[in-house]
Amino acid sequence: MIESHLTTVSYIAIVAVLAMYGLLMAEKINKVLVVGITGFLLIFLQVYKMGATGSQDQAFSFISRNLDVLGFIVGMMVLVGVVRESGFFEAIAIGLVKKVKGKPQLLLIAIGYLTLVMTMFLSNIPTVLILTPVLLVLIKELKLPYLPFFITMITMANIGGATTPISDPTTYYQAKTVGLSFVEVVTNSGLIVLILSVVTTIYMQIVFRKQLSSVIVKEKEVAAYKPSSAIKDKKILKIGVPLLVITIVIMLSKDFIVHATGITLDNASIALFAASLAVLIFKKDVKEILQHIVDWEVIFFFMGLFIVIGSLEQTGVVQALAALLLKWSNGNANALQFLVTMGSSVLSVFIDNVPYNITMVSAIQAMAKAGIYVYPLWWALNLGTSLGGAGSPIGASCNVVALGQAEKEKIHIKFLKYLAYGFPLVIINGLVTFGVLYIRYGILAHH
Amino acid sequence: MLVKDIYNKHLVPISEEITIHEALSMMIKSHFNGVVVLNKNKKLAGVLLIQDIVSQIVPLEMTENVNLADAMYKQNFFQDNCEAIKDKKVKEIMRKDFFKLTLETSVMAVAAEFLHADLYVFPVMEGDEVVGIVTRSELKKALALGMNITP
Repeated sequence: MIESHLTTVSYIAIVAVLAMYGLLMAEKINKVLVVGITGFLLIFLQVYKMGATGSQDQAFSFISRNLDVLGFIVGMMVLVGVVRESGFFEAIAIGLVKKVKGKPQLLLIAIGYLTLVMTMFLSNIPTVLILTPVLLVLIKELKLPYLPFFITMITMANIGGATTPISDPTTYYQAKTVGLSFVEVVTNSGLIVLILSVVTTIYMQIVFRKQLSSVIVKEKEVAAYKPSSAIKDKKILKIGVPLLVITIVIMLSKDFIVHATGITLDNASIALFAASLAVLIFKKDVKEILQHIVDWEVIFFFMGLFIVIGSLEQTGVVQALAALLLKWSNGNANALQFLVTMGSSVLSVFIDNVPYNITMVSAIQAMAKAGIYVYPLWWALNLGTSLGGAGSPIGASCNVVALGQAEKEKIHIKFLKYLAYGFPLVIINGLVTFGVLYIRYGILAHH
Repeated sequence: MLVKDIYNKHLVPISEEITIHEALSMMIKSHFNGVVVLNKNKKLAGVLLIQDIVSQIVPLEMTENVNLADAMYKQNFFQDNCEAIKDKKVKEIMRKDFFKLTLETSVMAVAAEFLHADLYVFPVMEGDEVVGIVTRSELKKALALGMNITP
């Protein structure tokens, strides 16, 4: 049993976090202001004060313990932002379109898997920023139905985030905080992502069979496509793309490097160094990069969240949350597993999965400290938050980015229409995830 | 130098109710690349430039990434898009928000707006009446005056 003692400051933290979730869902006030103001109020209310350590110092320690996560995000934003200018990824996408001869059913599979693979290495926001323009041109030129293509791209971009620690900031946060290695993430979450991608592909082909078969694309319509013309900058292609690949390889093999050589490396310094090199080699304007390539909204949102969610940890609320989850599941490991998988999936459809993930990481850590076997829960949480993000137009930032670009071209996907296709798939993917984890850790663990 | 020193009183306005197809035909006949658009009451409604028509043809993604336009060349895409918009009304695509001149406006202000807004047809107003236009030809005339070039 987890011991939890809630005090007055615990209740202040609970009210503040609930208010924050409410304001984030209402989407009336910018999310950075929501978390920032909530964080400062908690600091002023002395929620973090600990003996001689002042409230602000303790609150800021929740940011400083996550500097690696923040540095990694900034570094990758710059590196990918610069390498993107090569036009390399657009060229691959256009090459694939030619390869499948523009046939809608095959094109849907090709776009889906390209999104998945790109997300694994670039994370999902850069991926949709690169692919959405190509998709919009395809939709116009080949008169393709937009709904299947947008929902497929968004779903794959979301589930792809769970594949490796570098696929998504929340996956990285979780792996880093818990101490999950690259190999562990890939062989658990990554493997299930592959299964989910197959499920997703079959689902899309079934639910959109009419829309897809109603369009006929002749081979000659895409015959004149020239993938090589999409290359904008040959220098970035020749040096930048290999630099990105090397950076990713070093990040992926850092555990191996420590074992073999004793040299400790971490993602923030690797990513920021590679980003600095890219800026230097391609003579980019640092001011321009800092103003336009780095998405400070994401960074400040994370920093604010670390403080606000930190209040739950500070005041013993996460222990209470962990105890509640255990009570709901009656101490049954499979029930707990089901609760975390399906709860994370469904909640992530409607609420921002970043604060949710950070809250739950703390809660599951509290369970682990109480001696409960939580290992499969990490994958349930990671996969649940990732796949759930695909369920609605506002489920994740990348959905908002992709659909925002579509809006500019007067393609509007209604919330409920999206939900009608997206939500059932979340349930299916959630159940598949639970099933695989159950077979692997539930049944097999007993034998 | 003021607008009244250079403006052109010869005006070939079009109605906002005609189609893009008709407007383009008139622009070709009159040798103007941009025209003043009037409403039913013969009052100023907007201006229509070649760019405004072109912007209806080219997908936004292609203007943001020209390489994409070349890499994703589909035969007849340009022609098909022309066909698709030719029956739209001028009032649907004309510019309604732009810099209006009076006879007393300085030529420097016109030149600045010419660079700033990618606009090259400026209606010259007296009250709410359009009395003339300033186009690139008039700006050329202003430059010639400035450099003492006599035609």
